Amino acid sequence: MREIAKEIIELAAGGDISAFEEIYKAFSSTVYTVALGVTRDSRDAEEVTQDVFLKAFRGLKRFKFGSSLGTWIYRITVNTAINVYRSGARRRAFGMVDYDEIKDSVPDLRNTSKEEIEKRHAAESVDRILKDLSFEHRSCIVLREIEGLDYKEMAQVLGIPINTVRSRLKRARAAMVTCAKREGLNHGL
Amino acid sequence: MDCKRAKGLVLSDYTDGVLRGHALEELELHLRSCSSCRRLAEGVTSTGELLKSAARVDAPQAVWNRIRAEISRILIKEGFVETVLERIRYGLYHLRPTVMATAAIIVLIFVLATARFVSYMNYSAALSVREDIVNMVSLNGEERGSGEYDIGTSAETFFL
Ligand SMILES: [Zn+2]
Repeated sequence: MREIAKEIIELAAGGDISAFEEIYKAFSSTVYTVALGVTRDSRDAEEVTQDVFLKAFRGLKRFKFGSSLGTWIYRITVNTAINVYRSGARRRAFGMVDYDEIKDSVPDLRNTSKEEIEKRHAAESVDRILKDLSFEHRSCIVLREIEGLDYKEMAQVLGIPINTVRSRLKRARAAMVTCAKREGLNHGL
Repeated sequence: MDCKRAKGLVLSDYTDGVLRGHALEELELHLRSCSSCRRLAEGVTSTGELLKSAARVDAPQAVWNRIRAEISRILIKEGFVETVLERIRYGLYHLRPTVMATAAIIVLIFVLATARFVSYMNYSAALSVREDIVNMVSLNGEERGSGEYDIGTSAETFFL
């Protein structure tokens, strides 16, 4: 987990926007990756990222230096993502989906390298695997497999005991492997 | 080691590199002889690697632009509130005699103006009451002219 100097945090808390931009640069791809990982929707992920950094900006004054800024931001991210995901799921259930955006997001494969195509296929497989998992399992997999958090950090972020992290991760990974198998990955399984 | 325990460790501590000592030796022994648990271990590792390689994404630039704009709005709003509060505090602590004198003058002007306004309203009310009476009287057959003549004096008596 990346950390930020105490002085930068204090400057940002006092309203220094370039200090806050440093914090944003250090954590934005983490926040966006986690948000996209658990919501599986780029608009939801953007909304989560925006919400998280505005909450962080407002909350920095109250931030206690005993805990890590990274853990704190991960925690806000997961909690915000749950709310946005739920309201997004409601929005989608009511059929309020922007079809133009879906059309635009279909990639044009004519002028793309083999490497680029493979990368896209991998991203599509990842998307389908994660979509098959429950929100709870998804957040576990994203924090462990993509972000590389250890069990203690996961326990702090998710607000659950380490043994619960372990048992949840076991179920999440079992589900993940089953999905991968269905996707035609891991042929030997 | 049985398959149930082996699979549990494969799905957690073993894959995450935190399994040590005797338990690790036992599991490795089991994996050498059990192809089902071995395939699970390979599947967990390769899927994990796939996720790691493909899932990291940067947030679009537009997101920071929106956050920056919103923060600027928050700062301007906070700055404005602070300035206003600061001015009130300054006024109360450093300009107390001036503020009090100004306030007293404003209150005095207001009171006087109100008094003048109320008395004017009463005067016009008296006029219209008098007019109504005159009209009623003239309806009863008296000459309207004499009634109109009386208005000024009657209004004076009304106030006295
Ligand atoms: Zn076995």
